[in-house]
Amino acid sequence: MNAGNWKRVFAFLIDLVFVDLIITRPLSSFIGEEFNEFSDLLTFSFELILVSLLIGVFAVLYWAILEYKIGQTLGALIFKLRARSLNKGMSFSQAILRNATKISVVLLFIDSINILFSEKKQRYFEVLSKTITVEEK
Amino acid sequence: MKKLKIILTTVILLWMAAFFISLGFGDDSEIITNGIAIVPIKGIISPEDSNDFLSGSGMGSDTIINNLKKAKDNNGVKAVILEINSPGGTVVASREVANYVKDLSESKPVIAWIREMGASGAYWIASGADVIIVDEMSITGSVGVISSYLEFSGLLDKYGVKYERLVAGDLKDVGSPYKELSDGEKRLMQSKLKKIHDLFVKEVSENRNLNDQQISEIKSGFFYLGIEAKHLGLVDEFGGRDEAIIKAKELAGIEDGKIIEYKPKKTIIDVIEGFTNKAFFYMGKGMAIELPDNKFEILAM
Repeated sequence: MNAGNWKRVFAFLIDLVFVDLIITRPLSSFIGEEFNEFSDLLTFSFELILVSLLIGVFAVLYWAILEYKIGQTLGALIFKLRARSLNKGMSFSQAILRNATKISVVLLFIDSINILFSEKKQRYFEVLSKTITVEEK
Repeated sequence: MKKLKIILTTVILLWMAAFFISLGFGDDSEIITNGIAIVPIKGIISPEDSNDFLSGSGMGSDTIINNLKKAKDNNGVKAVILEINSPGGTVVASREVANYVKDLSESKPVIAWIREMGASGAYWIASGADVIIVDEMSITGSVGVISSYLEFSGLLDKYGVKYERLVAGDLKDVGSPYKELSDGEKRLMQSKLKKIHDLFVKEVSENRNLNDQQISEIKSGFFYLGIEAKHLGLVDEFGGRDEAIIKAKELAGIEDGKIIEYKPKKTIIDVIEGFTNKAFFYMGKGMAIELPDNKFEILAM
């Protein structure tokens, strides 16, 4: 059974809080303490981009590793959702591809628009990676 | 259960990776155009950083000088504020920093802002700054040298433990806690302390342009409250962070300086150490609370 939209949203929010705690905070402590306080935007843009990129990459890894290993993240576990491949088992490249847009919330939002028009309620990158999110029975 | 284990492992690994990567950032070498750097000098000053449960935490002269160097090399930094909260430290480490501060003050305005305490070696460092700002109740001064230690020979005798003295060189074990100092040895030790003290007083006096009367006053090694220290000419102004920043802007001739703090970076070891230190402290505290008073007496016997 395809996963409900609200369940997916709430599962994502739980994961987002988790990712914020374990990834964003350690990496952005540098930005928070020093960038905010004294820098001007131009001189710090390179490091800001680098840190943002790293946070995005780690976030994608969080989803990809867990979905590849157990088909679920913490949020999905709570809401009994599961990521599945439309073929056999899910490969790591499929897990990476389906989560690639999680590098940025904006990209994920655009990616998620496809759910509204998809019969199987797939995001666009889920279609590309030939994966789907389902509810566990 | 297995799923949770995998989630937990992944989370820990990702957190560690993020933490280690975050340590790589913060090489604040190229940042601002018009800024004021705040360099903290906190805890006991020794050659290396310390985070000892018994002797307390402190900053190493290497770390402090490294931060001062960053401020010096950064053309965007127009003035430096030393945020001092330290009881002092070892002679050489304090002097290393004091010399660097003096050198730095020749190229950029340096303001020493003493918070709770800036005494002994920490005051030596502050004296090299262009201006010293304190709170009226700050503890400062203490221009003296101390080398006291506990001597256990009486205690050892009581328990039948004998110090078997084996030395090549008669004075090799001067200062050993296991034997009493002879009068001659005491004099020798005292003469070493005097040399250090003389140098300490001389450098502080030069840095602060003190007259003979002021010098004889501070030579006692006594500490002074901010309000007394100002009267003695040991410090210049009263205030806190805001006053230090205003003074820094004034001396640097800038109106809108941004603040940059050169904090020592914490490693994962520091985090773990800090955690275990606290854990042991609370464990001991908990045990002590649980013990009834009479058991305390037994333990103390």
